[in-house]
Amino acid sequence: MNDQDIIALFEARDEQAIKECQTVYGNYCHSIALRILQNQEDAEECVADSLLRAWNTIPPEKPRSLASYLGAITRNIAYDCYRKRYRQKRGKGEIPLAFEEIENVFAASGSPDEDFDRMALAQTLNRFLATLSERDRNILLARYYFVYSVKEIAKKHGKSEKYVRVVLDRTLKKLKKYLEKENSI
Amino acid sequence: MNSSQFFDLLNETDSNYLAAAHKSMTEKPARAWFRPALIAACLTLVLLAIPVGIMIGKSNNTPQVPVIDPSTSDHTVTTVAPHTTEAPKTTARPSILDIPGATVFDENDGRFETINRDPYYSGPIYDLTGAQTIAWAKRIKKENDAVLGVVKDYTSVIVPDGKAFYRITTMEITVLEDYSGIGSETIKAVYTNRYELDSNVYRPVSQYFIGDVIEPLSETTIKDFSISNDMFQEALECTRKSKETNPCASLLLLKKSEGKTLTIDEKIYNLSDYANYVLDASFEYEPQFDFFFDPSQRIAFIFRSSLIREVFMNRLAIHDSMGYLFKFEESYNLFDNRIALSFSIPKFTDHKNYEVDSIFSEMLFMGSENPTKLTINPAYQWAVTIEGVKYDIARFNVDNREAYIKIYLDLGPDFSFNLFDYNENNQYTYENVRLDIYDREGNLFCYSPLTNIQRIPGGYTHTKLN
Repeated sequence: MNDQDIIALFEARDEQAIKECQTVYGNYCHSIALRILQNQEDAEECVADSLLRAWNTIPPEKPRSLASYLGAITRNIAYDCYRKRYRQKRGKGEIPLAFEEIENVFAASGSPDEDFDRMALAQTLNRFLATLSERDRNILLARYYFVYSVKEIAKKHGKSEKYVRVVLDRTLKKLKKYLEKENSI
Repeated sequence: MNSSQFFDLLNETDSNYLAAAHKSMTEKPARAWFRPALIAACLTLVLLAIPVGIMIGKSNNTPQVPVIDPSTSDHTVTTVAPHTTEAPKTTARPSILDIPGATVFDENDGRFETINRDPYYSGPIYDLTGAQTIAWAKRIKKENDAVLGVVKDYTSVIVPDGKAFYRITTMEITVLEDYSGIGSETIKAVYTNRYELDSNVYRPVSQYFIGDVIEPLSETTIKDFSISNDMFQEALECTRKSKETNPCASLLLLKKSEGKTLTIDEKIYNLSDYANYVLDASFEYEPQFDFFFDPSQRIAFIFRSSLIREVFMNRLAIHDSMGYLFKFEESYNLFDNRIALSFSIPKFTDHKNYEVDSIFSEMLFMGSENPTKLTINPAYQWAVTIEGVKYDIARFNVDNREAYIKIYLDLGPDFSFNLFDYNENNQYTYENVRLDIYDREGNLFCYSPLTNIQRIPGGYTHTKLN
């Protein structure tokens, strides 16, 4: 069943939509959640919450890509859960490391209260991603979207961990410059 | 933007990118055994088939290296002077200050790798803006009482030296008044790092700072340098692999060094006066050498031996700094035993009848404030036809700098150039003038009708089109 068919089920309020999402995207969402939360039970609960949120938001939402939509929901829920759990202390897993890497580049760029035009920023982001080589883009997203560890990324890409770190650092800095140049931040 | 906002922003990533990234992490990796075998096969091809060469200087006693001539059926081994060629390719039109990608040394990694073709690529070599620029400039100031400024343009070169190499960065810096008191002038500065091999990783061992110099290489830092063929091949191979993802990948950017020599596997070669090379290791089944033609620099494509011409005649590709391809047509002999090359632009099927503005409108050049400013190297033969009489131009004098001509070309009718004419006739004005560019064989490369040529005393002629 393709995305359009599944969305049609959502719109028809047919609970089969959730089952289909679970079948097609369950593992995908679970892997995202697990890398953030580092806990199987929490990850499963997160995926369930994600599907519920999808049910509650489609319609009126009509995502063009269910993978992206569900992935984003899962990431957000997983990250919120992570922050609640580790509010007062440094958490475990790759999230704090990934955030540290991001903060090395973006920390001085602005305050969390700054109001950004999300749509414009998103377009800028995707324009930037288009300028990258496929490898660099895959590495960046594997690290900061999917929260794979540097070691995992290095192994999958057949590179050293140091190489991956360099690519990540460089790409983040490039992104920052790009966003500044576009007056997005 | 903080890290949480960035993390959240990634939810807006294009779904295709996410799919590709997910796939890259979930698909089985390529079988490991294949890569070493491929590398070994390519290295074998490289070692057997590639003539290692560099630009040769004016010396008649240039050592020869053996090369295999693929134009002969039995691949006769002959000797020929080596040469260097290169050409980074750009697939998109970069900005004025863009520089092509280069294989450089990565300080974090301790290895050669290809940098991105974006000139503002933030890495240990090129990230010289903001805080890093100031930190660097402060070091400059401390070492040489130099000035602090904003990096306007820069190039970085790697000069091999046996198992080590120098990384030399040349910058144009706009001086900041507050720091220097000099004013907003632009200076050029060079700093040099030496890296030595240590447990298979290159480590920086020393650093030199040179302020306000014009030449990128200094007697105090680089003298003659040498490289082992292994190191050379390693860098070539790295570039070859890098070109899979970065078409701009090129090997080495050797800045000019008059009087210096380069030794490869104990064979010494004199560098020419026009030495801005980037070696392009785009080795597939046979070597292809691309020349990097940067009209904003001064580059001559000079070969010592006609054998090189024969070997590479059908495989040379010349790109300007913006990636426009000039097709190699033929080579020809210059005076003092040099061979120059003539090119055509494949876009035009009949290269004998180009309109100048048609050609030059496609040729935008690096390092120029005016994107239509063109500098032609003296490898071309120039001639001016004045009232039907053709005058060969052997030498050019522009702003008291010889051996190249500048043409300021607008897409409109404004066209001016300077040329040197040995004819010391009286001063007078011509109505019908045409600028022809010929190769040495007499083939017309391009022409342009000109008006209002005026000859001034001393044989120096300036003209400007209306």
